[in-house]
Amino acid sequence: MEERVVSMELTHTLAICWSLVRASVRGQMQYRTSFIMEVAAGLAYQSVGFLFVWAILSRFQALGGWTLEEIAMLYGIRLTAHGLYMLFFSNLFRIDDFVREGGYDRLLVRPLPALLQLMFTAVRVTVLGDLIGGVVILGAALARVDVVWTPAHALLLALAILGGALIDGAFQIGPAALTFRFLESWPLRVIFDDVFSRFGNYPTSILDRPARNVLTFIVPMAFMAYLPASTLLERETFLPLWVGWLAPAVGAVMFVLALWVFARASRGYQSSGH
Amino acid sequence: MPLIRAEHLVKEYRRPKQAAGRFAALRTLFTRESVVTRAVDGVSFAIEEGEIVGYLGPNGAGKSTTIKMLAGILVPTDGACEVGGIVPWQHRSANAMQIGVVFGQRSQLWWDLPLGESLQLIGKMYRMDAERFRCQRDMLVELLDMTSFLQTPVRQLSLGQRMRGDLAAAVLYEPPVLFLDEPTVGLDVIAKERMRAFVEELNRERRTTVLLTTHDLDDVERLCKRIIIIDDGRVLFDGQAADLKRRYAPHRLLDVVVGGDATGDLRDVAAALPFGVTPVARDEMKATFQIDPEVIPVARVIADISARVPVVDLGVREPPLEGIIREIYEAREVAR
Amino acid sequence: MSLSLPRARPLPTTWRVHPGFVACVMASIRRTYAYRARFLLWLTRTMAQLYLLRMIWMSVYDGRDAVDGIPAGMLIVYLTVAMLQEFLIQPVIVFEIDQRIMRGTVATDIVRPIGFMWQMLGLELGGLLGRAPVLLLAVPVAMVVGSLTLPPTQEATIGYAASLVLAYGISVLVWMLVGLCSFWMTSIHGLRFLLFTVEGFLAGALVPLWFLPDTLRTVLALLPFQGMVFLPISIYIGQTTGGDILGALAVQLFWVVALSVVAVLVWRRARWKLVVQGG
Repeated sequence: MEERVVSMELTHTLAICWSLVRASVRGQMQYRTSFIMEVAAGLAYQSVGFLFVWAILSRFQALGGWTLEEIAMLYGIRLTAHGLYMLFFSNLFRIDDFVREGGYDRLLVRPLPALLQLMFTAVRVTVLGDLIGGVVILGAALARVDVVWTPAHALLLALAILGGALIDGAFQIGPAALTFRFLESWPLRVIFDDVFSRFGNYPTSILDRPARNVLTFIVPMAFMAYLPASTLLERETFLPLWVGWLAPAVGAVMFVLALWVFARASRGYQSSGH
Repeated sequence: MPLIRAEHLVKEYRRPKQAAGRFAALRTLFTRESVVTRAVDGVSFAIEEGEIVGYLGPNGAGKSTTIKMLAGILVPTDGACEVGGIVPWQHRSANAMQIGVVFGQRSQLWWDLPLGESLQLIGKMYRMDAERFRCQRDMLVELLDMTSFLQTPVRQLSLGQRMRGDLAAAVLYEPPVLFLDEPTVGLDVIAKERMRAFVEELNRERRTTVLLTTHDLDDVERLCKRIIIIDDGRVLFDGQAADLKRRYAPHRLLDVVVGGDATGDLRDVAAALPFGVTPVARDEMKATFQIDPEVIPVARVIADISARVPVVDLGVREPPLEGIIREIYEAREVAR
Repeated sequence: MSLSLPRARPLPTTWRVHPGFVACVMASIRRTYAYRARFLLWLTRTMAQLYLLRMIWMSVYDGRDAVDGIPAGMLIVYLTVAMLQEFLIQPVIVFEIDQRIMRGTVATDIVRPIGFMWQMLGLELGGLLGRAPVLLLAVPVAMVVGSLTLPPTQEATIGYAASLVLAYGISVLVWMLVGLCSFWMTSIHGLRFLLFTVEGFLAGALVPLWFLPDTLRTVLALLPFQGMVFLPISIYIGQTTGGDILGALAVQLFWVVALSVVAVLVWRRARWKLVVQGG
């Protein structure tokens, strides 16, 4: 249903997205106090999560064989990937209400792909909290962790973060497609978000085998941080060491699949109201 | 070559059949049966460039659904439609560039931003170059008298101001087609008139084709020469407003105001009217008579009444569309 | 949910329970069952959390039977009881009160024949009573799965029961104070979220306080939160015994009294603000 984007169209589209982002940031900045509160709350949430890890590891030196620095690196990769995803797609969170109140119609009347508009209007600047938290933890970890930093490894780190963001995105955009059919998709989206946030910051190896397999082969959470981090640290996992390099590919595949599902479902959009 | 074309347009909605009784919600999830409603059931029409067409019908008739298909928001279940040679749902973005839409109930503007910034964003979105944008924007700001609230965030605007903003946003990029969905709802009399005047001017200056959905028949009286009436997803009438009146209510209304102390005389006149004239309303000083021109010419009636009472003011008018439309809604079928 | 006053029911005791209070309780119980989807979601998330914690702790124990004198099995019981308890005593009004203020219904609430604070308490109690049957279902399941055992001694059972009541008191008071902040802040959403997040950790639901580094442990000992989870559950699993139980109960009692005083003062101030300034 959407036409292909030619290169000149692409530049224009990017320019417009940038304008939308700037506009939405300006709009957000108007609510200054709640903005600060939300960023603070977000940072607090991250801090407590990591505080828990720190508390445990200060008493027990290793978790599943991973030391504090190593877990911090894993934590940081996942969090940064999540922050990167949120930076673009946080607005997807409200899609149920948006579609139900007829806001989606408004997007369809404009000469821009609806998903792009969803992404870039109402960017919640508070998600910067996630991204900042992730980068800080990752930075602190990278300084102390025992990794041989070759250009290849640096590339893997960057690709892992990108792949993680794509996987996170895939499991939000895909379920969001249900909103077009059922006017509601938040239960599924919340479940995925929860699983990734909860289990994704820890080595998948600590889970028992059935859970580990599900979270590697069915919902590829292990590819978000654990497998690439293991490759960087040259740690043995239940899979060969090079699997970590597949992370961006897995992300890309899942993401494209999710986009396809979303586009398909939006064709069945029935438009509520009236 | 008509600018807007609909051919046997059909839109069906499928909803799972609501189970009744225990665990209704859960059973609905697993049910196989669906209830199919045909919101639009074989609608066809062709609109030429420069027409202002009123699209009327009771609530739930299928008006908004038709507009949404023409705007590319919904994909038709069957049939075809075209706007400016483009199939709306197939080439949504291309279609979007040539249409302007105003939804009366919801704003298209960015809620937290000043009106002026919304307009700027739209200018960019529709690829207007800076020069053309400024020119159009300045013209619209002046025409719609928006200078005083251009810097105000949209969420703080009154309904009238916001509607003007929406209208400006819809025509900023000079689209050849304009869809207005209940644009005057909730506005005061002055605002309504201003909006109607604006649309009329737009149509005159730019030959903008307008498809207007409304419940306010004054809008229709003022703007639309052509009317399409739809109910239950089907077209009941498609033709000139004048034809509709001629066919359905060919009579004329004569308003008479008397002066002096002719209070009793008006009553006498009403009691002894010629054949083909019926009183519609009467109080001490004013009366309205319905005249059937086939039976007796209007001029004769005027002469007759003027001779019997001291007439101070007098006017002849056509019957309002209101009554006609109401009849049609009730009858649900018009013999062509 | 409207709070219509039923007929007064005289109890065969020296005092009558105020009908308005009962109405609040009943309304709150009904409401607990209205949000089924949200409840199911909460259930799934809690089970996932419990599972993760169990995996983490098992991994940390690394096959050892006990660490610092705490057997692995006991730790699992600790975490499970913490989860169940958190479900039982979760707050209700802190999610209500800012809505009531924003909508202005609080003005009508104050005018009702029973005090606002009593209404809020009624709602909390109703929530508790509504959730209790669900808990009774969860307990046997948890025992079958092996996560839950009963307290090892009679002393532990009685001590826990008393401690639980006090823990509930502390929880209600803490969240009530947060709720009262809505009289001064436009949105307590951020504050609420913040507290929700840190409370679990501070109370010792994620890491029992024995395992924490000394400095952190000392800090947490000064806060009321430990009285909500760590103190009672430590009694339950038999880690706190004898005279220490009384000590723990004393600490909890201190917090209940202190927080009550603060709550009353804050409420007086809030009511003054509402009446004088119109909210």
